[in-house]
Amino acid sequence: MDLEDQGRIKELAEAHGKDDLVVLLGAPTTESSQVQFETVTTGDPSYAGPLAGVELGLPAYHVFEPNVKAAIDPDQYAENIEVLEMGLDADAIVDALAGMRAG
Amino acid sequence: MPTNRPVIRGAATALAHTPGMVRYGSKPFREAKAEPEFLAELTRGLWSYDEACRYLPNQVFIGSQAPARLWEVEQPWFDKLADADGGEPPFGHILEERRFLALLACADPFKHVLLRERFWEEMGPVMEAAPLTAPLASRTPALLTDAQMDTELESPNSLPLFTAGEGAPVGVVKTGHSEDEALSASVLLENLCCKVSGTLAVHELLNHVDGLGLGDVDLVLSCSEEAVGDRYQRGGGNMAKAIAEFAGCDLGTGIDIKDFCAAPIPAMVIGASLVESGVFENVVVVGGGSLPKLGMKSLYHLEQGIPVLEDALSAVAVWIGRDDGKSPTVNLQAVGRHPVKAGAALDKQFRELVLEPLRRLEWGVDRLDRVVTEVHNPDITVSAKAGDVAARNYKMMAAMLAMAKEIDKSDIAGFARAKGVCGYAPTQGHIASGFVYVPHALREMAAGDIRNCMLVARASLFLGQMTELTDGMSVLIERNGE
Amino acid sequence: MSAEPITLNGKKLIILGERDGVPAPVIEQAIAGLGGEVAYAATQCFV
Repeated sequence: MDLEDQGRIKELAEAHGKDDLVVLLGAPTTESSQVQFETVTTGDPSYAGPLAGVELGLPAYHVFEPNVKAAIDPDQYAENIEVLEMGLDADAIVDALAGMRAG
Repeated sequence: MPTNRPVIRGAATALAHTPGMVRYGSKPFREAKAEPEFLAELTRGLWSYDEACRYLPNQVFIGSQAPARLWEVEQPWFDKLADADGGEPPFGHILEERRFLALLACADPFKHVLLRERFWEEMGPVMEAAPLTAPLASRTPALLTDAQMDTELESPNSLPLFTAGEGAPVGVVKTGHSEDEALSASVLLENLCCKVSGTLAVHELLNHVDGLGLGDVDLVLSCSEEAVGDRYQRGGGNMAKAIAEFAGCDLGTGIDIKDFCAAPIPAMVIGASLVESGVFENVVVVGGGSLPKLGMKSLYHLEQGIPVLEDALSAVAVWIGRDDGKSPTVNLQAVGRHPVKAGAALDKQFRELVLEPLRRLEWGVDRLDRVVTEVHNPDITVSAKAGDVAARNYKMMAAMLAMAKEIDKSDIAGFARAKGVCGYAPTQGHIASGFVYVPHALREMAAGDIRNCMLVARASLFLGQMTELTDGMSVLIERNGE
Repeated sequence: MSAEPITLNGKKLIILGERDGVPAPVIEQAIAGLGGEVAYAATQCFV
């Protein structure tokens, strides 16, 4: 993940604590979704950024995940996200993140 | 009867293999600052010139292989180097690094690039002997003895110029102004890389077409990614004019067109419009190479033990002129544009850039033979966890068309092969954005393989932090007489 | 689908969008009205 983003996320986590924060992801591939998920939960897997070795444990979801989708107004979802979901490998992304949560 | 209807009369490419310059790409440069030992690792991951010439995506770039070959050879391609094709490349040459470094000094009127005397003694005759470089290297650049070079290299503001295979620097770039970041050695080097590679593409174009001499070029439009300027006007320009001058287009002038990676398409549309209006007769649209993007994904490549594939500066030049009755036409009735309200989502962008112009023409998708957008080489991006950009684009485009009931949902999976192109371009955004494909499109139209080709480019404007928007533009090229 | 909706009400949101995926402004628009406050939003471009 971009080092600038990592720095900002770390600052926010320090300022607000993990209970008040939620991370929403919009990455297009399973791999980039996994890297982002890992970075904000267990730490930067590339060990290059401010979150290297930092276990923030933030709740993180991809917008394609069923519980995010369920929270969004269906019309909004249809208008803004549905075609993107169809054009990307959404199921694989959802499965990959579920797999990571299950450890 | 000849009219002002704009046609594409020719297109060419230039690829400068510059492994020694990868260290000055934005990412490697930052990485080396933080971890000095990174440079040794980077150097070990670089390819030789011979390897670069035998790499399938590079062979497609210069036209020695057809893009269809990319579908036939299983990815990745970096471990399947072909035999070098000894023939003349159809679109342009792959320039060897030392010649490129020598040209950097030849292209620098302010003598900030200084070459080691011994290096020039060796390179001068080589440059003179090659038709591509001879006209650009007629004047001896600024030279330094070994002792003078040692002194220059002591300055913390200078950048040494290396070849990948040689230890001692062959030249040095000095800062243009001690208090001006816009004229630092690294900015000057970036701009000179663009100027030289862009000029090479213009010369490749002139060497590959009939009917266009240096004196015939009225206007050069540069759609390159650099920013030429000074502290009072960063990005003031004008790379196009600098290229026109260095190329020897003495009767022409130049203007830069800016739109992040999408710039080539607006530049082609503007160029074609200027031809149609009669304001200019022969417009050359040129995109020079981007130094900052060298080694952009090198950390991933090194981590996986694969070659550092972003090791070449790529450039394209396209000649737009008046209708000659045979060259493919630029259909200015079908320019796809991206209104502010369209937003940033990819499907919405493609709706505006692909579907809307087709509907304006009252064309069904079946009438479109080829659509080309962002054909980044997947060898580079897949290994960097960014996926296959071209494949993703085509899938999203097809999903949008299916939702709009223009194609059947069952056609989504096969859309890329039916209408598209496999990625092969260096990750130099503006070059990859359809622009790189122009010479192939001309060749395919001449052969009767396709009737038309839509070029679609997108721009991540949000990176500049003035707007959260993206931009984009598309243009349709058609076989003459269609 | 019977997934339990996530709660964004009262939360501070970090939105990491992507040019070729779902860009940050699109996510922001989709979750507007769910009571979360966008603390940071960025869109990445990997090419």
